[in-house]
Parts: sequence; structure tokens; C-alpha cells
Amino acid sequence: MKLQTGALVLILAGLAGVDTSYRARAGETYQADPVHSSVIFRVKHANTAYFWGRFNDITGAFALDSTDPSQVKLEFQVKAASVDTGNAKRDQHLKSPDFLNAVLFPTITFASKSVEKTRDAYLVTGNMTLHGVTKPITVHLAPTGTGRGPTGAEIGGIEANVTIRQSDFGITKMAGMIGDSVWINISVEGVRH
Amino acid sequence: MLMSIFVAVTVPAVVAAAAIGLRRVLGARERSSQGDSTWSSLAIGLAYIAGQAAVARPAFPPVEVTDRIPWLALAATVLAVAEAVWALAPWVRLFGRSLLSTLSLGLMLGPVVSADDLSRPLLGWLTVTAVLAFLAWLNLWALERVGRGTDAFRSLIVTSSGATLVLLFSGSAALCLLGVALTVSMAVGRLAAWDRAPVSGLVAGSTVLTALVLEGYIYASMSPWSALLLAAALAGTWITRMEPLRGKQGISATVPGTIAVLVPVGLAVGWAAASSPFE
Repeated sequence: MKLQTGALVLILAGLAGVDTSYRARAGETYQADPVHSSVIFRVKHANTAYFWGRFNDITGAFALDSTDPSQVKLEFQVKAASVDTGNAKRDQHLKSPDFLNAVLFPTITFASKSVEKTRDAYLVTGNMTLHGVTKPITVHLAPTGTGRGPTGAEIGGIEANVTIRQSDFGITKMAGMIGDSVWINISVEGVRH
Repeated sequence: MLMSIFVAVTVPAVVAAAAIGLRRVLGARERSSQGDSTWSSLAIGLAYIAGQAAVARPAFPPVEVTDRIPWLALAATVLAVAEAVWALAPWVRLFGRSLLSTLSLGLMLGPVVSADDLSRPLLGWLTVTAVLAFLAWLNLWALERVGRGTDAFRSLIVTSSGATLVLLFSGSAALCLLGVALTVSMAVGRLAAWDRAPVSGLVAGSTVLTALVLEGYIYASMSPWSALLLAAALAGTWITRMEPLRGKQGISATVPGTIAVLVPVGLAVGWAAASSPFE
């Protein structure tokens, strides 16, 4: 009997067009869980082939609100020295003054300022600081789900991606060998406050 | 990359040769050591600045420490020209060079010192680095004072060549190219000066070389041992002041003096090559 009732509810919900995939209540803020968050990037080498890398140290927070897009926020901080391309020597090169200069500019940051709602996602505009240069960028942000973590805490997820130009941030020394455009994907799982 | 190397070699070579050539044309009738020193200083300083502008154009205002090096080169060139033009007293020259050294250390180490998470061990390490860099400069000044400036300049070219390779092995192709530009500036300046060795080029050459080594050590992955060996290499020039080489001139002093510098430089390069970063 309970099973039939439950099935009936689901059928009726589907007929009503209710979105059961995601719903955030007003002003929900999530603190990033660094263990279950990822930052990956893709860049072209020698104008020939793409290679991928990641940053292993990300912190930050995001806020979601399905009823008021202006409350959507995203901020993150990534340690430049945590770059990881699967090759220790290449990582060393990336951390050198030729690229990220991780000693001088240890943290890559982004903080949102304004949000525009699209059909199923958000365009979040904010300031990104990389290599000591701060520039406005627009990130495509999509909520990816909510739920409960292993400890029972409420968790939520977002995925953001953006393409930046290294030259906009003063990274120009190896321009001939490494493509200027870098595609970045940030996937964050956060624990609700 | 090949084009970058070509530019790093060609631009400073042309500028250095052109400056000294211009000197010979303009002052052909009135050769003097003062005039030669002035033009040599200008040639080497401007050649390096042109080389860096061609290889890794610095941002203005400076963003990275690399962007500050051309300004250091300019300050060193101005100081060297002032020393040549006004025949400054030794203590004034030492004071001026100490100020330049302090400026260099401030510009290169400043960003690390001003970081929020500066710890005591880090501060201690930076202090030792600064002291060793200053001692290296002092060594050059002392060699110049005892009349071994020509040997010191030759040793500086050898050390710069080695530092270029060390910078490459330390994970920065850009710093390696700047090392190429510096070495070429000094080498062409030396060749173009021919019979009048550009001892005054010591100021600009040593200032830029120290800045590059400091940047490689602190901001890239230069091994402390390679940095130390490069700093100490110039001390090998003192062998020309020891018996039985003391008082000797020409090749009988040049060869042992060069070898005494080549050994620590070679060790520095070998040490850095053992952990080469390039894929």
C-alpha cells in the first residue's frame, strides 16, 4: 500500500512538471569541501595537442538561491603551488617565473560580483586574481545537486567553467610554446552552513 | 624556442658592438681610459636592457621581480658611468656600490620579506642569502681595487655562462634566456673593446647576474648549492694574486685564473643538471 502511494506521488509530481532534481532554499551557503572538489584546466602545447592539469588545493564557498539569482555567489582560492600535471618536472616549470611564479603569487582567487540567470544555469561575473593581476571574468555556473554526505550533513554541488587568456594576466614568457587560452573547470562540493 | 635564443644572442650583441663601435668613431682621435670606461659601461648596460626587452618584455609598472631587473641594470649603468666620468674616490665608489647592492637585494627579496607568512627560519635564510650576495659583490670590488679588474671581468663572463645553464636546469627557460643576453652583452663588450678591457662593465654585469641568480634561487628551483657555488666562483680569481702567479700577466695568469673559476661553475652546473626540470 505504501509503495503504491509513493509511486502515485511520483507520477503526479512528474505530471505536474515539478523539478525534483535540484532545489535550493533562499540564501543557502556552502563551504567547499576540498577533498571532494576539483579544479582542472586544459591548455594547448606547441599549438598541437591539449594537455590537462589540475590544482590540488582549493578552498572557498558558494551560495545558491533558486528564487533570487542575485543571492548566488561564488568565491574560491587555489594554491598555485598545488598545480599537478602528472609530471613533477613540468609542475616545477609551471611554478617557476616562466608561468605561475608560485612563490611570488601563491594564490589564485575569484570572487563574484554580479549574477545573470540563464535557462538552466548562471553567468557569474567577478574578479579573478592570477599572477598578481586582477581582471573581471564571467564564469558559467551550474548547480549539480544537493543531498546528504556520509556524516549526515547537507551538501551541495556546483560546476563552473571559464576560458581565460594567460596574456590578460601577464603570463607571456612562454607564449610561443603554450597556448594563450586556458579552459578551467571547477567542480565544488560544499557543506551547508 | 630557437627564435628566442637567436634573439637573446643577436640583440645584445648588436647593441653592445654598435655602442662601442660608435665610441670608436666619435672619439677616434681622443682615446682615453675614462672615455672607454664610460662607453663600455653604457654598451654592456644598454645591451642587456635591449636583450631583456626583446626576450621577455618587462611590464610597466613592474609586476614580477623579472620586470625589475632592467631597472637595476639601468641604475648600475648610471653608477658605472658616474664612476668613470667623475673619477670618484674609492670610498665613494664603495658607498655607491653598496647602495646599489642594497637596492638590488631589496627589489629581489622584498616580495618574499613582505609576505604575510614570513617565518623566522625564512627570514634567517633570506638574511644569509643577502649577506652572501653582498660578499660576492665585495669580492669583485676588492679584485678591481688590487688591479685584477680585467681578470674579474673575464671570470664574470665565465660565471654568467655557467649561471645561464644553471637557470635552465632550475626550471626557468625565461631566466636562462636572460642569462644568455647578459653573457653575450659582456662577451661582445669585451671583444669590441679589444685592447681596453671594459672593467667598468663589472658593475652592471655583476648586478644583473646577482639578480638573475637570486631570482632563480628564490622564485625558481635553483639548488642552494648551485647558487652558493656561483656566488663563490669569482673568488677563484684571487689565485692570480697568489704565488707563483702573482705579478704574471698574459696567458700564464689567465689560464689558471679561468680554471679556478671554471671548477666551481662546472660543479654548479653539474649539480643543477642532476635534477633537470625539463620534460
